[in-house]
Amino acid sequence: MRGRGGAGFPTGMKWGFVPKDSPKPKYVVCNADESEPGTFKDRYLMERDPHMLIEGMLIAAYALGARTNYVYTRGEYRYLIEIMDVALEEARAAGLLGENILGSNFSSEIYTHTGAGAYICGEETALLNSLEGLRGHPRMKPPFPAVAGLYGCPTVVNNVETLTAVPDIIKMGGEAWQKLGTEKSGGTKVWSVSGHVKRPGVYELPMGYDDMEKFIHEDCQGMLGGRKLKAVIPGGSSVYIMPASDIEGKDVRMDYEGLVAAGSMVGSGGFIVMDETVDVFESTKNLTEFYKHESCGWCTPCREGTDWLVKVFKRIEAGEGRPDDAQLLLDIVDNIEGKSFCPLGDAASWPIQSAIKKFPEDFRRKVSNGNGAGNTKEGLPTA
Amino acid sequence: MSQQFTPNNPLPQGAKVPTEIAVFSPEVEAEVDRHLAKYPVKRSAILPLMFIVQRERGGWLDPPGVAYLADRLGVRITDIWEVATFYSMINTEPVGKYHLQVCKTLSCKIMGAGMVTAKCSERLGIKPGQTSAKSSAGCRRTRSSPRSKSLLCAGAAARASRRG
Repeated sequence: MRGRGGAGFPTGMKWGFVPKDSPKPKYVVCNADESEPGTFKDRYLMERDPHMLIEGMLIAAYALGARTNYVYTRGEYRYLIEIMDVALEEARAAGLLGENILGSNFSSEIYTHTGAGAYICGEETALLNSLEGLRGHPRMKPPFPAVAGLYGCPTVVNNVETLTAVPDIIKMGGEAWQKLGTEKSGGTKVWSVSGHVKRPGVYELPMGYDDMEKFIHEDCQGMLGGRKLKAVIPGGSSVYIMPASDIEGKDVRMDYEGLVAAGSMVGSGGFIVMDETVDVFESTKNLTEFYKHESCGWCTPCREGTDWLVKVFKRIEAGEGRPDDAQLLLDIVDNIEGKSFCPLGDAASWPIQSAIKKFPEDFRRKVSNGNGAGNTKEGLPTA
Repeated sequence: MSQQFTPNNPLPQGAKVPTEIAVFSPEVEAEVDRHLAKYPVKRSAILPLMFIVQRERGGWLDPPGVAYLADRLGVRITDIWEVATFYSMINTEPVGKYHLQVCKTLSCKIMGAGMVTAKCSERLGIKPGQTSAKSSAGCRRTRSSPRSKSLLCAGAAARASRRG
């Protein structure tokens, strides 16, 4: 199973990196710092079935020999900690948690922990720093957390959706679970649908669901107010934006390969649907402001770059657009993408690159409305 | 009352750091102990403890509250502030009794976050970032000013969408 947090790293391989013979204690940490804009599946899973998460964590703890485990929940979800704590108490009372679980010689404890409002703490090494009581700056990798994670000990960090799938995988057998999806993208994916559809919410679909157009117009009951679809951000705010023309009549399969082929990514599955009333310049500015605010300040390309991006967006919006502003944005992005310390820089870059490429009109209109009008060298691709 | 000092309003150079330490009820102390018991390293409890102190000290980490945290966690006051200033849900400045935050990141923005903020402003007679004198309600539009710490995506987008 590929991790469902966003990066899609194979979970079994991650567990396999934990050294078996390490004399240090081992930790399983559940990443419930669900902060990617448009994503709320983990909240739903913990709210409705906390025991499924506890079971998944204990299986992981048993497999890895971890005695202590933490659920790192984002600060805004602190009410979920109350739900989790009750469920943990129930599990303890049933002999499923704590010392000598079910009379065996396996003992393991799960504790809840709260973040306090920082997107970056969803990055696993920043999460570990935060859990150690530090600022949530990411750490240099390698060493990877599997070797030196929490308190320098072998640690596995997995997303809520990943861990809640573990009991089903064990129960059904890996092969049967894999077959729920496609050969390359096994199992199911939980999507968080928001925006201009009649029925937003949390949807669990088999990987390879066919196809995105049907999903929007049938499962989500179509667009609000009967307006036209303009764009979808299918995998949380940092993935490439998809114009309606890349979805309608295009048979986009909803899995890792299908979305890459269609020019985007599964990411966290935060499926944001936008209708024709949305200006993609404005939506991209909104996301860029988010990344600027959430840049942790640790590395220069991301800290300074996101700040400059917002400055350019604001200047364009104030009617002072210049002919080469789109190119300027792309140039700044070029100095962030792949050059930042952690993936937040990439996450800030991709929405801008794809928005300018796919919706040049929305940028052109803003720029040419500015006092830099009459632009012939506007640096925009012709759609 | 000791002088109020915060990261944005530091003490003048050479001034003596107030030594007042917040005192809490046995129930709160027990709650603090429960959190400290979860971790092999005390400092790990810093965020859970900050939420407790913030709740008990009028919504923010006042200097006696910060001194208490440093004492209980065995770290320096600067360590407390170093962490506190990183996290947007930890207040290092006084806030209103009721602290309203409206998410304005994409999913919520396109579903009318601006209308919610406008309605709050209208009802309370204050702008985002301000605190009303009468009801001691603070309204903070997320990311409204450089200094304002904000609630960005709060993972409530599906609810935001259910408006009609």
